[in-house]
Amino acid sequence: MNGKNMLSGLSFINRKFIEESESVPETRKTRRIFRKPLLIAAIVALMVLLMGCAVVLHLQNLKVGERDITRNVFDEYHREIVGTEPVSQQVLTLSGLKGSPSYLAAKEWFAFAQSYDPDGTIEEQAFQGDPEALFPDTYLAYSTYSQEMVDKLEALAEKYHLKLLGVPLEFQSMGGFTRALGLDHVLLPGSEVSAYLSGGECYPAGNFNISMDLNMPNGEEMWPYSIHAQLHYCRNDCLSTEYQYLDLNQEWKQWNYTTPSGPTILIIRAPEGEAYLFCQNTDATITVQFEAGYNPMTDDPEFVPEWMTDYQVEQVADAIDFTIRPQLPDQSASAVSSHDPGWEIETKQVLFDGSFGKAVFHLTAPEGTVLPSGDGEYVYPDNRDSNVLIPEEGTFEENYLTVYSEDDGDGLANTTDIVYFFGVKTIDDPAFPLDGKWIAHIEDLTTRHFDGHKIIEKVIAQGVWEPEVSFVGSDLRTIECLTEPITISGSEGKVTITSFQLRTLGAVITLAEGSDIPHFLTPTAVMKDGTEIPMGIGDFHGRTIRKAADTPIDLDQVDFVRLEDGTELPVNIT
Amino acid sequence: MEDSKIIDLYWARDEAAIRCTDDAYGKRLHALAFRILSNREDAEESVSDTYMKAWEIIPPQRPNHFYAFIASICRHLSLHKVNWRLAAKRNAEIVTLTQEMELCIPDTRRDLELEDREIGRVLDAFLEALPRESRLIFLRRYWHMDTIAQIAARYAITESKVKMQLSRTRGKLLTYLKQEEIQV
Repeated sequence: MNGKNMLSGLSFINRKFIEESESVPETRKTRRIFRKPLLIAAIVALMVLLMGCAVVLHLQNLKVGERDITRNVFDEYHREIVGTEPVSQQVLTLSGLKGSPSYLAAKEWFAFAQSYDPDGTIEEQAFQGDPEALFPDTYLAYSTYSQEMVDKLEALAEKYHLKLLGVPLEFQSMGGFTRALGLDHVLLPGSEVSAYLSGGECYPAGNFNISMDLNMPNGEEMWPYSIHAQLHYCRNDCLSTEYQYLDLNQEWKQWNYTTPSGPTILIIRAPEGEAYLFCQNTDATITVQFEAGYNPMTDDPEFVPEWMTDYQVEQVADAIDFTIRPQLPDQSASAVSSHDPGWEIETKQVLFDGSFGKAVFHLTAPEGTVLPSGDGEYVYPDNRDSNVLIPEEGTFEENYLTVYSEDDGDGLANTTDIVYFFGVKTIDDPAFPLDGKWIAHIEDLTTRHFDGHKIIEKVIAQGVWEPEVSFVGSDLRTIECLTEPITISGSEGKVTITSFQLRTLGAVITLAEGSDIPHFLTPTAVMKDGTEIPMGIGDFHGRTIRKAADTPIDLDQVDFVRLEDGTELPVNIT
Repeated sequence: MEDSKIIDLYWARDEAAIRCTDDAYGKRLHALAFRILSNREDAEESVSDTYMKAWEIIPPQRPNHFYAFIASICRHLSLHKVNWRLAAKRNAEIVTLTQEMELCIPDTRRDLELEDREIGRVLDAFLEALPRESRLIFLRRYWHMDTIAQIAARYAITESKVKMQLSRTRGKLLTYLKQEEIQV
């Protein structure tokens, strides 16, 4: 293991992180030369019901100061920095309304941070030390880098009787995240809008933020694209130093709007940019931030961005329940062993060939439920960080390949099959606990389908299912189709294969020393009855390529294997 | 064209999928590959390979972050094309990045091997736990391979702040790998 491996391994991180680092709002401005600053949090205006009287909310209620920065200027494709520009910004806090303790603390901290370490000398020295010792997680939310900053923070908390946020909590899944907060919804009950919670951060003191994908129902004047929003929940009794920076030279439209959930909120939006929904209820300040448009980063010269109307922005506000009252996070509540009643999963089929494995689970939903048919619509476990297959004893390391659902053929709308296809890390590993007991750990069932411009994901059943799985009786036969190396040609040139092992779920192919991994290699198993089973998807490790069969292969019925260039390999079962 | 429609073309086995991908993301992919390879021809080859790979694995995959999906392929293929023997001369930045990553590996784990995909999974858990700002800066540096100056400019923060954040995150990664006893 070395630095190169680490750098290379980063290519396989969850793509949501890559998307996140690519698609911060300002990177999407493909037609604009200037980049806006990073919008880490959300912000904006305010409403308050005080003694039953509505207060007119205004951006000024959140403003804690201004700042001047120098900002980079990108080329039209946002790839290269071509210069810098001075920018003046107004600074807003999302922690509370003007005059509240949380607002005053945020304002005082901003003033302190503006004057502290102006040339970065202290920062420079700080990062040369041991980061763990200098920057304990206790203050992670505040980006402190000196004892002086920590002292100031503690003093502000004491002065305004506020709690510090604490060390960020960790959760295995978003289901666990919301269970810990006792948060069973963020949308107004009965809303036709769908919300998929894709990630979040939560602190022991109760502040949290959630990333979510919102999709409006189809209809006239409805926004037709997915909306990627952030919801920030900042409790009134916490010290939060998250700020939002709005360019002074940008036009910001703001208005008060009374939502169906009750509260009047402040809406702030740029005509071609971000929108913010800001609400203060009795416990906390809630901010929802999203890009009010469809403007993906693209080089397509024909592409024209689209922007929401004010009415469409208000429709988003209509969907949110601004009266949510989550509890202080209780991590013990995040783990569950049960699941929603009426949703049952049992193991239907398990196949394993020493290299690939396929587990099929039969899902039965409550009567009347219509599950995705598998044709462009899927249901799958939303396990996030936890593995699906877990042996009772021993360890199992897999290279996940794919999970999808497919029609189970029984004609019932409330049942379907969930297919989990995987490859083991070590082929024919003798340590694989073949005869032991296993469970499949399935968490929070989620559907995904594509609706016009939108990818709609939705958790349809919460909880944990753990059906038993057995690999006993697996067909581990391996048929070596080569007696000597062969060289075949493809679109990228020639490649020499030294071994071609056919198995029940695919092939394991070994290339000659020095060979590059070809992309054209898609073998096909031709059966005695003439049917063909392509082996398309797969992975590679060093000079070994694995190709998974589209359907399991009955080895006794294979006539031959055909390679990309037409070469036919005989299949001799001895 | 929207991502979902491009993906539909792949699913329909319509070769226009490749052209549409190139129209939409070709320049960005090329820029990514070029940052890694510092050679225009090699970068073009990487991008071309990326399209082939995407064609091969969509379907059955239906990526919901399409650019991230193809960029991951492009990055992976490009890194495998790097001639490390000549990298110090041709592309000193990638050597620096490699050295910085070395600092995150516990001594006790150096001799163990781990596949790229597994490293990715380990890093997933680590990245999930990072504050967003730290994660963005870390990824801009080690995924997108931006320079310190570019990151500072991108987020309108000082270079020292970027260095501090990166140093801190590397320290956390080292600790994470030690504590989790991950087989790295």
